[in-house]
Amino acid sequence: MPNETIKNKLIKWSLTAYTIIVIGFFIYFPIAILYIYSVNNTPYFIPEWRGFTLQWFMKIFERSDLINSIWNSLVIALLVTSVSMAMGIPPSFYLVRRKGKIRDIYFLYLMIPFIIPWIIIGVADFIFFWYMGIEKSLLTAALAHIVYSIPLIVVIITPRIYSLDPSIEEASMDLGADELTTFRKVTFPLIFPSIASAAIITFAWSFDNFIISYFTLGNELTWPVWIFSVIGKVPRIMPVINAMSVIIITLSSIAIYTLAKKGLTELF
Amino acid sequence: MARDVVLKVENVWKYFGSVIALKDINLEVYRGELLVLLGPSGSGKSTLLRIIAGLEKPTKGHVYMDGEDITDLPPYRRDTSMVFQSLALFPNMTVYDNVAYGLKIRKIPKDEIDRRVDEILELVKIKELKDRKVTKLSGGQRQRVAIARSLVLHPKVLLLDEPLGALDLKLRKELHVELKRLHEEIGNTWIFVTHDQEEALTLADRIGIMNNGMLEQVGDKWDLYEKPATRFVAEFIGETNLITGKVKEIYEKYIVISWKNINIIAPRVSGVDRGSEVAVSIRPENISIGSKPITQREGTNIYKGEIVDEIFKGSYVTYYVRLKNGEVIRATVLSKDAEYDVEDQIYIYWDYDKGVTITD
Amino acid sequence: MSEEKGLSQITNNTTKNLIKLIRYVLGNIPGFIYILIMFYVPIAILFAISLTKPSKYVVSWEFTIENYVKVFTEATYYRILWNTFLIVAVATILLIIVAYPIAYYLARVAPNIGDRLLLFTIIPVEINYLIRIYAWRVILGENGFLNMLLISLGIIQKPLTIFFYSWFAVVIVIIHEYLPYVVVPFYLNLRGIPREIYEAAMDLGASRLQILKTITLPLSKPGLLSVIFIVFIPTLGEFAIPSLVGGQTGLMLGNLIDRYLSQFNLAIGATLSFFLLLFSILVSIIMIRIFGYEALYAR
Repeated sequence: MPNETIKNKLIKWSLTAYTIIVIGFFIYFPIAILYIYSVNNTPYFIPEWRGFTLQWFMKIFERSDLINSIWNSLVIALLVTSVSMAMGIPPSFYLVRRKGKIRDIYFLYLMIPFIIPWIIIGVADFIFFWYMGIEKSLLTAALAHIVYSIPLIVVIITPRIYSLDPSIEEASMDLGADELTTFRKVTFPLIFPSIASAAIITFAWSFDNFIISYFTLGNELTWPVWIFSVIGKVPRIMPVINAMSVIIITLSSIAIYTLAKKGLTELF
Repeated sequence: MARDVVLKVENVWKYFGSVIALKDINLEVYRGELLVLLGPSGSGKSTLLRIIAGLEKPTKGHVYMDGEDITDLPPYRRDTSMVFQSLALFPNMTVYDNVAYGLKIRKIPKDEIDRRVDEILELVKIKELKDRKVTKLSGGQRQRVAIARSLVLHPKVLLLDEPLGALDLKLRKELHVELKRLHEEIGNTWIFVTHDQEEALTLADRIGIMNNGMLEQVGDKWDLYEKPATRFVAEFIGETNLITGKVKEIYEKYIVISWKNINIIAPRVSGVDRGSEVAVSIRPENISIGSKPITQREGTNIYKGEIVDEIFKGSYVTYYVRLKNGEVIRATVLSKDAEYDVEDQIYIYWDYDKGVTITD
Repeated sequence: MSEEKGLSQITNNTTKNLIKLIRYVLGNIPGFIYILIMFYVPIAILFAISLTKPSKYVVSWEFTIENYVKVFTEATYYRILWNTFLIVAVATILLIIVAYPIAYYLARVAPNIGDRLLLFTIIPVEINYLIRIYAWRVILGENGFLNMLLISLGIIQKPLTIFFYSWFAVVIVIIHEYLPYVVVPFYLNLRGIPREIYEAAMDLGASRLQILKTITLPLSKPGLLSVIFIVFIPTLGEFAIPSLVGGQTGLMLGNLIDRYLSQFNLAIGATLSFFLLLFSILVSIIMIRIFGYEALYAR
């Protein structure tokens, strides 16, 4: 019946158009603005094209505070990722392989910091450091990040371990491999994709986190907190932030896209 | 005998990209029968069923129901209903809601829905599960819900796509009996797809054998068993010895086939010329074994051979007999008559008429 | 002999299980202690301080529940609490309405390219979120794109100020921020529904719309649960967005907490934070009660 076909086509086209418009407006439009102003020859966000320039990219190197903040963010993200991986992987196995009340309570214990708003972690640790007389620094911010990233890693890895067939491990041990060898040669390779994506997500999250860092940093700022501290206060610096953002956006998009193409689709 | 045709499939072809899924299918389905489409996986039987249901469109050809061309009608405009392989029960609903689904869509009054749902649940014997969530049912119960959900709409043709595939053997056998009963009580037309020949033989009024996208033969089980039209059918239904050779001589009623230095006499069929290649199918149970040659018996193929293997199958025994041309023939004998051992020199014989000449 | 062997086997197994248990315990201790010291102890301190009389730069250690009473009786607090709830609720509902058709499109209409399209939806999320908030200032500002566009189209005569530094701006930016996170759970959820379910419904006579109403939407409930956890609860504590685009009408709880903490009026800050904690947990419990525990794991 041609009528049905037309109707189906109509639904299809309107949904396509809707998706493109919504994603275009809500997601790509503001990013496009960043790209345009990173090469627009004006320090102000006036809706006007003043000619192409690369000066904002050049100015990045003149701002040591900007470069520093990027560096700080990288250091924190690296620290947070490695420490929380070490503390997040063992509980993942425990939560999957064991059953019972203790397990359920432990699960809640780990998940509560995960489901609540980040600001609570920030505030609680802010008060904690203050009360304990610990001077706030990059380290204290990293310590606060880890509170969230441990359960984050658990949440990413456990589904993968769930889907792991325990008989594969049993078969390996049956064939004479001891538990360590089994873990190294069998279990680990099987869960590696999720471990890798957990590492990437944790790194990206920590690098990008604003609210926890905002409450737990000392004088040294991370990249998001640094942006917050200059937005609206140092007008001429905005195009420089634009330029830096464009660099980060471009690099991370390329990285994500290549990774996803290689099959790390469980990134999400 | 002219029979009442409810559904007709005419010259249907289906391509998926460049892959041919169905080749020129012609099929007439009679009102009230239970037709089983039987074939190995990938033979196109499910595709054919989906075309009848309207879930796929044929690339070429037409489907008629009661003389009306329904080829382009969407599934919800056809008087067919499908029971899916996965059953496809709606997991968010109870048994009642699942069964009532089609009726609610048709805006039938509530009390009539209740009446019809009750009636059908009674028929499939799961009335007490009415308010249960379908996710909380056993395999056999889910099965009944799926069938009830389709039957409650009183479709002219009920389509079943391997609905018992996921169940264990015992449960399947129970449900075979149930399905047969249901079909007889309701009296509408069923098309049932399966790859299991035992299931087909148990359920079917008629069987259509599919292979490689072609409908090889349609007929009742005895037809298929005794007069297979193709080698595939001969081998797919039951066990058989399939002998291929060239036609040496042609007589009025019989032909002589040369099979690796052995001459075999089989019934003559039309379209056979001297030198053409034919196959002869002889069922193992039609072959007799004797320790002495029965000489002078008219119309019988007799060969000397040696028993190379025997397989005990309970009520009967299958002997593997090697003939002097090196080929092995299977013959089955009732266990009480199985008096031979491996390496025994014996004679096998069968009536000319027991062979079926196949020319495909 | 065989009995002996059996016995040694049993002890062997028990030892093995014991070793396994010890290994589990050892492996879990660091994480357990870490979360205890860096989360539960600070939360306990936070709770204790929330029960003390407000005093700047020091904790008075005079216990009272006054702070909690204040939060619900003084307009300064409860107005902002209510405002926060309203903003987040409206944003969440809008997000579901906006995102669901996209997820439906990706999963059902364009399933072959769905994964790839999804990637293009998600990639921008991995980009610093403060800078994206700033980009919205450019779009919604008084001399921003939206105003310029509307003026050039002749819809308005002079720039509107409602877009920027408002409730509206906060909602828009939250939608921008969380749209991919809402599309993904619905997408995964819709992809998980077998095609035969739709076919069965169609075969039973349902039209596209009826299938959507009776099958697809009800089966999207687990996706809804994810949205509550991914959007509703986290945004209750949003701070950067209202700070940068919220102005007076867009003030949220996060701003209030920040104000008291930066004044070192810890008691009030702690009270508000602890209230937020309780509220978040309460919402989680209600959601799990409604949708069932297993929905938490449903992808």
